[in-house]
Amino acid sequence: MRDASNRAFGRVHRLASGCLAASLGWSVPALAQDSEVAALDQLVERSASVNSAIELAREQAAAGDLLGAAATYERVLIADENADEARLAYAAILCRLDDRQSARLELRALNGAGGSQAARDEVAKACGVAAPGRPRKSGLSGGIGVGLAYESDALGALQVFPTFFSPSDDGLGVIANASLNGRFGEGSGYAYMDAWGQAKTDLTGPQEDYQIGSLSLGYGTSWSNKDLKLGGVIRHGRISGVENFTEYGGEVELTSASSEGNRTTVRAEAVWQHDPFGFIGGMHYDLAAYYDVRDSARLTWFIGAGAEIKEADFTSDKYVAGRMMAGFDRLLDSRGTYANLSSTMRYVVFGDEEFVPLRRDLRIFTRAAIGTPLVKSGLNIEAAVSHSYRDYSKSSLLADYSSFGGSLSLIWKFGNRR
Amino acid sequence: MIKPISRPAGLLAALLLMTAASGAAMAQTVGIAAVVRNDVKLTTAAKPVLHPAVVRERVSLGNDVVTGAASMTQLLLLDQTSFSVGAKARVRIDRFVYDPSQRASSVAATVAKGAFRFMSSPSLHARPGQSSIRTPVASIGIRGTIIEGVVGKDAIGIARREAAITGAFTADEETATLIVLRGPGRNAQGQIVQGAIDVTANGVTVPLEEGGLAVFIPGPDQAPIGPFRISDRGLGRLQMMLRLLPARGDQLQRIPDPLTDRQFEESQRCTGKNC
Repeated sequence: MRDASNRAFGRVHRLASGCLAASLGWSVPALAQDSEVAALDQLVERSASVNSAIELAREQAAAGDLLGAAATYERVLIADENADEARLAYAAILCRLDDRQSARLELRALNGAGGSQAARDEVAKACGVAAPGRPRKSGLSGGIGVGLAYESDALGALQVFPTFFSPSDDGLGVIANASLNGRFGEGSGYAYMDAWGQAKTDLTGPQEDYQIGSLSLGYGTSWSNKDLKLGGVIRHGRISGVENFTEYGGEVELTSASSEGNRTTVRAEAVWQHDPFGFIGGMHYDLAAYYDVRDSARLTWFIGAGAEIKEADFTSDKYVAGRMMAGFDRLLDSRGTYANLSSTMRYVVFGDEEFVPLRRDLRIFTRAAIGTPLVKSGLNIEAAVSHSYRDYSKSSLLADYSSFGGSLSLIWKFGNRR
Repeated sequence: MIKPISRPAGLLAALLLMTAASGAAMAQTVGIAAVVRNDVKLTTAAKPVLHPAVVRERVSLGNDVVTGAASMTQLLLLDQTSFSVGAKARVRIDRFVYDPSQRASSVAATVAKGAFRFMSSPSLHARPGQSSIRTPVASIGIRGTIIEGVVGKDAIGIARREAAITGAFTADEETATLIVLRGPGRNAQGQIVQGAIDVTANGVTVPLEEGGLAVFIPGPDQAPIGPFRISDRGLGRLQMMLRLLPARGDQLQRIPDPLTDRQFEESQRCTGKNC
């Protein structure tokens, strides 16, 4: 009995002693606590900018505190996922911690861009593998897509002369498009080329095949976080084998990127629109601004606005127009499955002329797509739905137009588009 | 001589002492929010209701840390243990003992939901086995290490795609837990303790002693599945919950107006055979 009591007392005593020790344990370190908290504050303060954080992490690593260095890099990357220099250094630390799988994923996340050569050398030394190559200034990128497209009113889409009644015919066709973007040069200056084309061949419906192409060539220069391009542009379009338009002129584009990777772009274009039938040829001026935002690794979005002026021989062929655009692109999984949605609304005011009905057009186009990679080589399959709508002012006596569309395409993307 | 009557009194004294110790501990700062990204909320002794966290805000025992979508934070504890909290998570530091003079510490934390990464400091290694992380269905005994994990349906999403998990399972979207030991590996440089943890669920303990190994607990009253080597895809998905990754370079493609909207229509001329 006594033994049992003693054992019980012993347990209680140990418990009470433990609690007392814990209590005292908290009070004694409390004196030192201020210095510990101050040390944390200092770590955080030195992590406030990417450069100072990298410096801190290097000091920690040099002192043998690889875990502390890794924590510092993680802080940087939580705050700024585009800190490529920190990501490279983090990958090197992970290799030194023998966590090569995570290091490999970090290097993969670099997307082949950014970071200094010194950081890359550090990765090579720690991991025994080279970091993904830096983006070459010179290079080509682009994509090719081919698929089936359906429109509930394929005829109306090309019924380019508005009518007082609304002929309508749905159609299924093969649609193909391609883009090729090139930059050539070293240093701050470069030559650029942006080519783009699309063709549609009807399988059913109105049998109005079309082809359209655009080519821009020019010179660009980059400084600080800005990029300026100046060049010439030419476009040509055909419907049912007959020239529909040709336009040529010049463009200038200024892009400014923020430290978060968001971009503001202002683009101006002036082209002479050639009318093969000699009636409505004239200059077309376009000024547009876009704001592109990387909201997260998975979500990007943009908004934009533009204004146009068209000159022509007859007042009723002249117009001014304004438009607004917005869209987003959402990455759905780590494989690269994506969804995007965009819409453009354009309001066109034609010149008033005697004996010609007053005309105001509201045109809205919306497109939503979802795509997923089929293989790692950049081949995606994409399904899209769209809606086109034109509302003509009643005074114009023109029939409104509304058409739903859908497409299923294979899209191959190549090159580094970052 | 100890009389039986003294036992309840002793127990009462001990309980009072525990309460006092607990009260003292509750007021103690155990760490700070070292970085805050987007929607991160926490409770503190000064503000006991959830409020937006700010960088360097003090964190005490029992404080809840709650993150929203695309949001994350890193808690730095006094011994410089790092506890990163991913999106849509809820965590709490339950116990923290740190003796700077002995460079020894231990910690106990709870992850109710969401993703986390725990990277222990060297002082934690001085008390191996005294630190732990609890999830609704598992307890992780830490012997000094870097671990990552996720609680909730994201754990199920990763587990279902792991080729190493061959058998069927019924999972609970609220409590399913995936734990991954990341390291340090046995070839880590310097004086670093190799990572090792013991994951216990439903009375079954699975030791993980090699980086890249993982266990999955589908829900309450279920034994751990594993260990298995997590795939790059699974680990990548887990890490995407802990930190944002750079946007894809080709993501920002503005979709042009329909081709026929401007160029073709501009001519206001019908050239098709249906005109």
